[in-house]
Amino acid sequence: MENLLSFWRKGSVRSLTYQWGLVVAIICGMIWVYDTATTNMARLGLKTGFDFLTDEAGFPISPALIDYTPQSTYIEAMIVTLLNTIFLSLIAIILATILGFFIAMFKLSPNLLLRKFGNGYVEVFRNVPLLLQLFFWYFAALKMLPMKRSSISFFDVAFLNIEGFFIPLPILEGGAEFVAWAVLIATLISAIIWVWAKHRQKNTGQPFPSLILGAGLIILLPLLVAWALDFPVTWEVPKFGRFNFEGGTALEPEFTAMVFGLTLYNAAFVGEIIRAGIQSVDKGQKEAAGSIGFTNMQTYSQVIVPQAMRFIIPPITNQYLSLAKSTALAGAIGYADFFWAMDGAIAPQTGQVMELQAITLAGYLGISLFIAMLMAIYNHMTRIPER
Amino acid sequence: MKFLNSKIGRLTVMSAAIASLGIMATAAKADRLADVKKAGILHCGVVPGVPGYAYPNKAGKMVGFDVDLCRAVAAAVLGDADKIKTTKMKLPVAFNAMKAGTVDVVTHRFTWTFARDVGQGLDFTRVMVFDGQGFMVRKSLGVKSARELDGATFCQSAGATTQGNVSDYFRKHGMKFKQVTFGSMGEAQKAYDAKRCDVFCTDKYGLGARRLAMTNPDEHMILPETISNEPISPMVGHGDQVWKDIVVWTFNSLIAAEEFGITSKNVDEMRSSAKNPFVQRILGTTGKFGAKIGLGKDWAYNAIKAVGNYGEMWEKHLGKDSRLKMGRGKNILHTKGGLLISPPFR
Repeated sequence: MENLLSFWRKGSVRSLTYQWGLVVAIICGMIWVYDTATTNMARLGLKTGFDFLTDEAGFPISPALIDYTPQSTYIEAMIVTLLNTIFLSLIAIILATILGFFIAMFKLSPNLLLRKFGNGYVEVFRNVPLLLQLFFWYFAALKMLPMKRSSISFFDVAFLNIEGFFIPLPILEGGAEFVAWAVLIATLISAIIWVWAKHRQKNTGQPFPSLILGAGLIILLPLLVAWALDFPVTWEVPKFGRFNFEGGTALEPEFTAMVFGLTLYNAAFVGEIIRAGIQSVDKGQKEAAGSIGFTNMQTYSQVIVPQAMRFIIPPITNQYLSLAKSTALAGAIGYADFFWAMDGAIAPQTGQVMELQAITLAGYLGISLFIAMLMAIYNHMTRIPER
Repeated sequence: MKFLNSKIGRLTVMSAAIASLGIMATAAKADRLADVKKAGILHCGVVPGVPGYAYPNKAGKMVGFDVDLCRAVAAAVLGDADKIKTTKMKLPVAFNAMKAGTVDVVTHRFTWTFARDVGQGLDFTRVMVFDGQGFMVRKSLGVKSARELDGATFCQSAGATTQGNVSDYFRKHGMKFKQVTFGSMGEAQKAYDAKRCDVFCTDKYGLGARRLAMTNPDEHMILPETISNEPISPMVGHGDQVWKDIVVWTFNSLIAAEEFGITSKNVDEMRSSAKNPFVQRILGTTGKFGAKIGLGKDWAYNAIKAVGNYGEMWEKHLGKDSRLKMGRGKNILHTKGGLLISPPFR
């Protein structure tokens, strides 16, 4: 008995018991939920299973980034809308980060007007519910855009009206693959130059304009190749058909309103995160940089921002995750996102709610984990090296 | 804020429905009649805000054809048509709430389809409106027929039978179309009203109601084509046959009442003096029909007295006494060449 008590008093034994006890309890709980769910569903006469995934979806999806018709299967509908969700998240994350950076700069600016503007922006956009903002941008856009008969023409190749922004679509011809190769090769060379320049700067302190050179290379080399091949691309210009412009491709108001709403809303949070990150860098760093002759630009890009990044990455990762998940509101204003397809279109048709919920959860979990993984890699790269 | 509330409400109800479906063993009890009697109130899921079917009147009370169906059941079961609780539900939510058994009856404008009826844990009761899908366009578009809509853009709501019907119709006629599909009918209607789309489509009797909600109803017209067959039926949970019988026969009694000339006005007189044995059985003067379905002998009498017969309901909410002024189409008695028929009360 004495032995048993002293064994139990060992910290490691106790914590292991608690931990494994919890794991077992969670597993039992999950089994119980699964069991009651299946029993109840059987009692209600509900079919379960994933056979429906290969049935014909029957509804169109617009926009679709890959080939899709109403005759495609449910699983294809899911992939198309999942791509829409990822595409929307990606665009909104990039734009919100850029805008958020400017908002942070405004808030840190010595200029009173800019500072007040930054403050006002943050307070307005982060304190109004996102769904409300989305409705506002969507219906405001519909009110402001010109009607179809009075479309605004941009040099007779692009047109703007209430159904969207119609732009020419490039149709690739033979030889276009060489241009793609040129882009790839230029990117590779730029990467090599960048690594070499970094290495040289570390050893000798000599800077090298690798970014400008790289950008120039990536733009000019493919252009040169395209010129040599007599530009292997034709443009399909939108033409007014019976009801609207046909041909080309269109940026629809639903997508635009989503990008607008998500960007403006999230930029307010991103701005605050970046501002806090920059302010968390000790003032002495800036003064030290100034004292050895760094310009304001150099101080920020070489000293402040790299250090601020370590404070910015964890909260900004949260913000990106929150943005990606909030794309699920898109269905409300008619943009065909993943949640729209699962909850709005497929669930009422098939009634396979449990299965669809599971797939939806897995889909969003996948997106979130992917973003978190990318950010963790970046965080790892920018961390303070410890010896 | 209304949209926000409804979105949050929708998500809450949705998760509650899932939770009760999956986890709580209390869902979909076998004896709903006893439950409703015990609660003393009938809980109905109705369509959110469609004039004529279910919409708040000036006093803020929900009224309409669908609400009256609910009131008829409450009158038959509880003896009081006002003992109802209506919850406005968007289409997918109504579907899930019904499956999970959180409501007693759904009188939402649901089309009866194979996929919805089979293996879904719910039952359709009987067709109360024979509808079909139609198209609404602006008169200024100059379109006279749906066959001229090649290349047009449609506004519609997700999850409805609408989506499939439009793609089938256009595929059949080799025409192309674009569509914007919204989370709810309300947003689809607003977007069409804001001229985002050329065409707004849903069931024709729904279109008539929705036209009135446009900024300028006179600018719009409904095209002659009916591209689908949409039998609209209220739903109950699957597996409780007693409850289903009660709901189905209450609805039957409203149609039979029209056939035999029983109205909310003359129902008392008919009960005391009618010689027709069918009328006597419906109104409980002879036979024990009420007791056979677990209700009092006045069940159908109460229902008819509260909401009137089918014809009265139609004219009051959808027909000439309403703002909608819609004709009854196929929704007239079989004796007059329509599709409405009640199995005999025998």
